[in-house]
Amino acid sequence: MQTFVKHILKIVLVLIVCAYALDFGFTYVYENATPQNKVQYINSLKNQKFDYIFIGSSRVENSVIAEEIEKKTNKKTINLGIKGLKLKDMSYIIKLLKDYNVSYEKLFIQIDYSFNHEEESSKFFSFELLPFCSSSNMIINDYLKNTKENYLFYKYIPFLKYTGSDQLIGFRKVFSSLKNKPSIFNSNKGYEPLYGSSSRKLEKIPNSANKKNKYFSEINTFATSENLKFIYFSAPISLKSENLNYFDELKQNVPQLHNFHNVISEDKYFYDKLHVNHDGALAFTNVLIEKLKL
Amino acid sequence: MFFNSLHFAAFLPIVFLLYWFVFNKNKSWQNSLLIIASYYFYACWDWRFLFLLVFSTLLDYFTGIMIEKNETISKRRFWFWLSIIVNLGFLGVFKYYNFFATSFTELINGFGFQVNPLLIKVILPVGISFYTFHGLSYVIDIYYKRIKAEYNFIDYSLFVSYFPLLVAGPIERATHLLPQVKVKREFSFEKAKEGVHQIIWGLVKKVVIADSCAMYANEVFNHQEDMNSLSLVLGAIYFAFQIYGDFSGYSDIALGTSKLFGIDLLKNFNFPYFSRDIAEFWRRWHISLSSWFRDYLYIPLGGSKGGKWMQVRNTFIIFLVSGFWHGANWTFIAWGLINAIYFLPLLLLNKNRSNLEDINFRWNREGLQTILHIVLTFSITTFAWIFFRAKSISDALLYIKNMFTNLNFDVQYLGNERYSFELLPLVGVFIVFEWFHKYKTEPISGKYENVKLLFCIMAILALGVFSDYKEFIYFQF
Repeated sequence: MQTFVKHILKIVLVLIVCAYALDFGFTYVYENATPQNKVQYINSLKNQKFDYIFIGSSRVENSVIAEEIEKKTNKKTINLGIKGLKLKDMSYIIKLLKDYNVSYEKLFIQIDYSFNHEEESSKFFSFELLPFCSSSNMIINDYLKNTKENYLFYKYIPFLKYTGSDQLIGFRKVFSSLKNKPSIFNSNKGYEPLYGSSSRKLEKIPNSANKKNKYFSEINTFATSENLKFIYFSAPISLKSENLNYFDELKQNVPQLHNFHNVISEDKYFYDKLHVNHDGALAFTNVLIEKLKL
Repeated sequence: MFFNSLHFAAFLPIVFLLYWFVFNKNKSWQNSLLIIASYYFYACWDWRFLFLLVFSTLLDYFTGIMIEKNETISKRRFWFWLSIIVNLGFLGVFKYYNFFATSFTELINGFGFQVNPLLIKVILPVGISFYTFHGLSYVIDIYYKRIKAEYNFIDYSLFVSYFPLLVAGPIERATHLLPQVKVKREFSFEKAKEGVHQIIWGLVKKVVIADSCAMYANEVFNHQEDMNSLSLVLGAIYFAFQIYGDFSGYSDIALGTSKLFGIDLLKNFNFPYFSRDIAEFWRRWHISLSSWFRDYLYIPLGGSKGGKWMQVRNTFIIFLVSGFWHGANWTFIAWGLINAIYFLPLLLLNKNRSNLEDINFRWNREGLQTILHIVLTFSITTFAWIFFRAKSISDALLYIKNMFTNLNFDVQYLGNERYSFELLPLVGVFIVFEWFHKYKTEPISGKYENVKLLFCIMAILALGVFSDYKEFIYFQF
C-alpha cells in the first residue's frame, strides 16, 4: 500500500506541475500572441486613438462594418461587439478602455432587449476574460468577482479557468495564436460577417421594456464624469419578429436612443431574425453613416 | 455521478480509503461497504429508481434459490419464467412501451383509422438494460444447472449492483464475478497501479477523443442538410470515434476502478477498429454483450447446428435483438439489420471464424492486404453507425443520399466555428497510439511508462472537453 500511495502522490505531483506549466504557457500566449478573440483584441489596443468605437452584442459584431465607415468618412473606427454582451459587460469594457488608455472621439453603444437583463453578462466575454484573472488589473478582477461564481477557484487553482471554458479559450485558440494565424478581428477591425441565412432559434424579445437599468445609469454617469461622448442606438431586427413594440417603449425610457430596429426591412438582408447578413450589414452601416452624420 | 466528474473524483478515493483501511476485516465488511457505495452511486441519478434495483436483486435472488431447491421440472420452470417475465416486463415497460404504442398507432393510422397512442411519461432508469441482463444470466445459468444459487444475499446484491459496472457494464457473469466477491480481497500494488493507469487512459478516450469528436459529429448530424459530401463523411468518422472513445473509455474506467478494489471485470473492448472483417469486429466490440447474446440467445436457438438456414435465421435474430437492446427506435433495429447483412457473406462462405489470431503485421503484400481489410471493415462499420446516430430512418437515408450525391469536397466551416477536417490529426494520433499498444490492457505501462503518463495527463488537461460534463452514450441503454 505504501508503494501505491507513493505512486499516487507521483501522479498528483505530475498533475500539479502540468497544471502550473500549462497555465503559465496558455496565459503567456493569451497575453502576448495574435488576438484570437475580442478580449485579446481589446487587450492589444492599448494606447491607441480612434475616432469611433462601436460596442454591443453580436448584433453589433455582425452588423457594423468598421472598414466601410473608415472608407466613407475617413475616421478611424473599430467594432468591439461581442456575442451576448449586456450593459453590465459594457460598463466594464468602457472602464477597461480608459484603463488601457484607449481614447476615442465618440463611443456608440448598442441597446436593445438586453436592457431588461440587468444582472446578466455575456458568457463569451466573461470566459474570454478569464486568462487575465491572475493579473492585478482591478477592473478585470472586480468584473470576474461579480460574474463568476467560482472566481476564486479560477484565480488560484492552476489551469482550472482553461478547463472550465475549453471551447472558448482552450488549446485550439492557443494553438491558433501560436501559429500567428491572422485573426478575423484584425483584418476586419472587429467586424465578423455572417453569410446567407439560418433558421436557428433565438431569444424572444420581451413583451415590455424595463424602466431603468442600473448599468445604463452607471455608463451615463461615467460619460458625464469623464466628459465623453456616448451615443446609444439599436440594431436592425427582422420585422417578422414578435413584440416589436418593445423598441418604442425602450425609446420612451431611453429618450437619447437612436432607434434603428426597423431600418432594414427586406428578408434578404437577414441571417436570422436578430442578425443581418453581410449584405444587411453593408446596408445598415450606410444607414448609420447617414443618420448619425458620421 | 459521471466517471468524469469532480463528484466521482471525490467519491472514489473516499470509498477506496474506507475499503482498505476501515472495512478490510473480512469480505462481508468489504462487500457491505461496496453495496452502500453502489447504492449511493446509483441514487445520485435518481434515488426513486433504487427500488427497482433492489426489487430486481430480490427477485433474482429468490427465484434463483427456488429454482435450485425445487426438483420437479414444472416448479423449476415456473420460477424460471417468473424471473424472465418480470425482468423483461420491467425492461419492456420502462424502455419499450412508448415505442410499441407509437409504432402500433402508426400502423393502425396507416389503414385509415385515427387513433392516438396511449403514451406513458416515464424516465428510463439508468443502467436498467445492464443490471436486468446480469440478473437474467444468473437465473438462466441456475436453471440449466451451470452454477449453484447464491444464498448469501450481500454477496449476490454486490454481484448485481457493483457500482463500476452498474450503469453501463460490462455485463458480468455470475461464474466470473461471484467467485471474486466470495473471498476477502487482498491489496495488490500491481493490480491497483494497473487500475489507476486504466482509469487515466479511459479518461483520455472519453474527454479527449470522444467529447472532441462529439462537438464535430453533433454539428454535422444536427445540420446535415447544410453539409457537403466531405463533411458528411467526416461526421460519420467522428461519430465512429466518439462512440468508441465514449464506451470503451467508460469500460476502461470501470475496469480500472474495479481493480482498485481487487476485483477483475470482463474485458469489453479489444481494439475493434483493427478488425479485419465484421465477424472479428463483433468479437472485439462490446464483448460482454456479444457473448451474452451468443450464450443466452444464439446457442439456445440452435446456434450453428441445423444447417445454413438455421444459422442465417439465428444470426439475423441476434443482430436485430442486439440493435433493439440499444434503444427503442427503428434506427437501432436498422443498424442491427445492416450488421446482420454484413455478416451474411462470411457466414455463407464459412469465413466468420477466419481471423481468430492476433494481427501480425509486416511490411509486405500480406501486411498491406491486412491494412486494406481493416480499412474496409472500418468503412462499413462507420456506414452502419449513421443509422445508430441518426434521429430517424429517414434522416439516416437523407444523410447517406447527400453523402453520395452532393459530391462537393470543399472544407466547410461548421456552426461550432471550426473547420470540418480540424480534428483528423488528433484522431490519427489516437489510431497510431492504439495500434502500437494493441496487445496491452492499458497503454501507460512498459518502457516509457512515466513519459506516457505525463503525456496522458497533459492531454487530459490541455485537450479534454470539460465545459459541461458529457454524458456517456451507453447510459441511455
